[in-house]
Amino acid sequence: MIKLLLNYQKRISTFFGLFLGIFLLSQFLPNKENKIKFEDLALGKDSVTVMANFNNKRIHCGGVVDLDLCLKAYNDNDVELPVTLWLGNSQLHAINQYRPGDETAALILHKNLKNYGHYTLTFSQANANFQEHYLLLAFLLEKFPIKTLVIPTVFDDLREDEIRPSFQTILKDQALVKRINKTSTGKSLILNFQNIDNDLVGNEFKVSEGIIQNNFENLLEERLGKIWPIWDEREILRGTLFGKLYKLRNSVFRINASTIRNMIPERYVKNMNAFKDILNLALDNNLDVLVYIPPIRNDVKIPYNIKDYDNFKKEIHDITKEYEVNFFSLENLVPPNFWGKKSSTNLKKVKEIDFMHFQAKGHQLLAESLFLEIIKNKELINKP
Amino acid sequence: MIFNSLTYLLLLLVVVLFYWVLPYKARLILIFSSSLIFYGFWNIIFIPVLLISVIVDWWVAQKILYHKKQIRFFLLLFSLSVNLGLLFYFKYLIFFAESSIGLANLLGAELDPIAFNIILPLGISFYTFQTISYTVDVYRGFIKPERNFVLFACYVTFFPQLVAGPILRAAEVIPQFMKRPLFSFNFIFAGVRLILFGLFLKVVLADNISVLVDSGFEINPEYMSAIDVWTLAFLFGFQIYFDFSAYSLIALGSARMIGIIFPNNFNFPYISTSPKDFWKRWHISLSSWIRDYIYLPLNKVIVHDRSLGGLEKAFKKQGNKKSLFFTMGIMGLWHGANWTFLIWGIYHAIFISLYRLIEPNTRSLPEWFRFSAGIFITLPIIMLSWIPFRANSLTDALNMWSKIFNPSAYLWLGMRENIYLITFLTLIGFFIVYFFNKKIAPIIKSKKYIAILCDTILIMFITSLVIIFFRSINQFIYFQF
Repeated sequence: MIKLLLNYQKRISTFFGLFLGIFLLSQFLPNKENKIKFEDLALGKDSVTVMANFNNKRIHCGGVVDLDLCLKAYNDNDVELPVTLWLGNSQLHAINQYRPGDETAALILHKNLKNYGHYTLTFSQANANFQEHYLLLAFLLEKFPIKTLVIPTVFDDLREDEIRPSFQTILKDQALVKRINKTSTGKSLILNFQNIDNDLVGNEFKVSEGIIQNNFENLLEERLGKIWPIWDEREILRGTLFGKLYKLRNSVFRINASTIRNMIPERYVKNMNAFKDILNLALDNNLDVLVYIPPIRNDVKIPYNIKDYDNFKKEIHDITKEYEVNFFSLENLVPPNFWGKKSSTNLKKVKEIDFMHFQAKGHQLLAESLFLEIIKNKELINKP
Repeated sequence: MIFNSLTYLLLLLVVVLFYWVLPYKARLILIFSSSLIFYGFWNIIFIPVLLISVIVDWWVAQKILYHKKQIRFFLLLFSLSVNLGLLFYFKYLIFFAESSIGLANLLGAELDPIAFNIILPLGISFYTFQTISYTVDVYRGFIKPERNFVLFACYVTFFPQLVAGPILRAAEVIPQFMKRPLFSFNFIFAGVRLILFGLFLKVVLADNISVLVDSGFEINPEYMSAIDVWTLAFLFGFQIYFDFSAYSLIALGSARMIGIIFPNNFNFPYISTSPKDFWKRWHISLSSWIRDYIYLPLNKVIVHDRSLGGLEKAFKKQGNKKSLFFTMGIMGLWHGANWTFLIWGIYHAIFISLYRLIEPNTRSLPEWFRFSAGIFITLPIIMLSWIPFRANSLTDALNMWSKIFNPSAYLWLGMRENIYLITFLTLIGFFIVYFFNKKIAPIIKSKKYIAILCDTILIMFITSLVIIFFRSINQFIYFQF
């Protein structure tokens, strides 16, 4: 037996390695409660995503992916109500220390403005950057009668540059492409997505998209998923694995939620340009615009380079002045006791400060402040 | 069809199963037909272009055998014209036309750009070089022409190497197709292991690195720091290495499963001790092809007929500088019809020339020092060469290069922190794997039980990771060449 084992060592190790590799996956697969969506990784377990419904109809969407729900909810209204569009990041859909019955600012604002004959529609995506907001606004202008735009300027999100793949579907809309092609942000987004769409442009695969290989591959993927459920769960496994690596990195380099994040020069400039393009687009379409600096926990040292953050706030202020749009700062709006902690972002079990997501009372304050700022605008109040 | 797809794995499974149960002639027909299916999955309309190349070279080679020297030469010219003509039309015509119009406009003419709608057939650069080598080898008398058309067609179109090499010589492969090996599980297990390692390099390493590289090269060079340029150069260097060596490993493994052995195409290229050494370790089948069919003939030297190398035996003198620059220029342009690729080739020629000048003065130094210093100096040189290879334009490449000579550009960072970290870890990981492979692995292999245990654990983790990351979304970089 031993002789046999030694003679066939490569075969044995290959066979058992393959078998154990597959077995390992089934052990590694988290149960349904522990499944981590990669985008929600930074949110932690202490904050809960709440996409608001009003009268069982969606008034808060997580981006292009669930646009149809919001569109259907709006179209179910008997009359065409003017829309207040609120774009933002996870601060709008996450409630820290959530308790049943808690409401997000999106829902509270929707209820308040409903009395004034306005329909508040919120779109929020984790770490959404201005380029994504620009694209979304340009697209939603075709779908809804938007009258007011509310947009937070989150310093943290200016480090982001990636455009979610879900935007690829809306970039197939030629009317949208024509509309955004006039701006530097739009041109850059179109070019990037065309590159993805054509894969390696000008190369030997230019015409390969969607032909025999893709169709056949999709069929095999589907069949394999039915026979072997782990195959369909691989995205979850990737999320889990990246989550563990993220925590490992943070542990090794002692990174936590309070660690200072540096500004990334090129991304900052691109996003600020996109912000200006948003304002141009909004003003071209006669929208009332409200720009605000979002609440941040201010009883502890914030995780930004203070000099960079101050420059950013000044720049936002100057731009809004130049474009003559409403600007106000809600930085200090939410008191420390309405914030919360988040689960550890490293391998230690110690909870960390959450600088972005507050509790339901914070949402209440945010919604009320925005409501007051919006109704200050006489033109809006006078509208039915 | 791409290797990192379920479609390919299914095709391979079917081919391997039938190959071992079919009789000899049917095996060849199976290989040829499955190769056409493999190719046709991308775009069926280019199968005729592939077949033209196959038929012309098969026919020319038969004729060369029976004709006098002068007619043989014309036949060779005919074959080269057809092969290079197709390659020029599909790959270089647009570049040539655009460059000519650009030059004419620079000289004062006001010409409008011409719109071409030419799609480059997959793998044309690889199979063209392969068929050329066959005809030239027959002409040189190294090999006899293959009379069996199907056997010859299998050599050119054999699916594991059809679209991205290795570029094989007829003398290496045709005799293997002629053999009728008996089935052995060794073929299957060795093939599975190579494919598994290849998929690991592709779907786990190269594809995940590619996301970072793509985002990095999208940055306007104006906003890049010098550290960013170095980081991107290293990171892309690793991406292209993992990607291409992955393809080669899967090709090797696929061929091995039906008893065909391909030569290795990579040998730890970033451990090179000189720019010259790099070309003995990187894309070995291409560099030896370029050497045997361009560089050595330009230097009037008789050559060997193997893709594995043999330069020292055949050629002891150094070639002249003109032929070196010309050869490396061709090497660059082979990769793509763009000035950036030409610059890449010339860059290598410059450093090989410099090495030739410096090398005689270093012979008195201790061997360990030459080895360490060689790697330490060569690695950054090689990595920086990838900048024009990957940059979006020549201007971007030059702007990025200029950053590294600007001391003030070393004072800040322009990318996400993860990119620097992953680049550093990849670099360290590469050296650890090299060290492990050279020093530790032989010790482990001698202790049989530990070897089985270590090997099982390795295969287990690789299998898990390959399954988790297996996605047919990214093509192999070398498919575009």
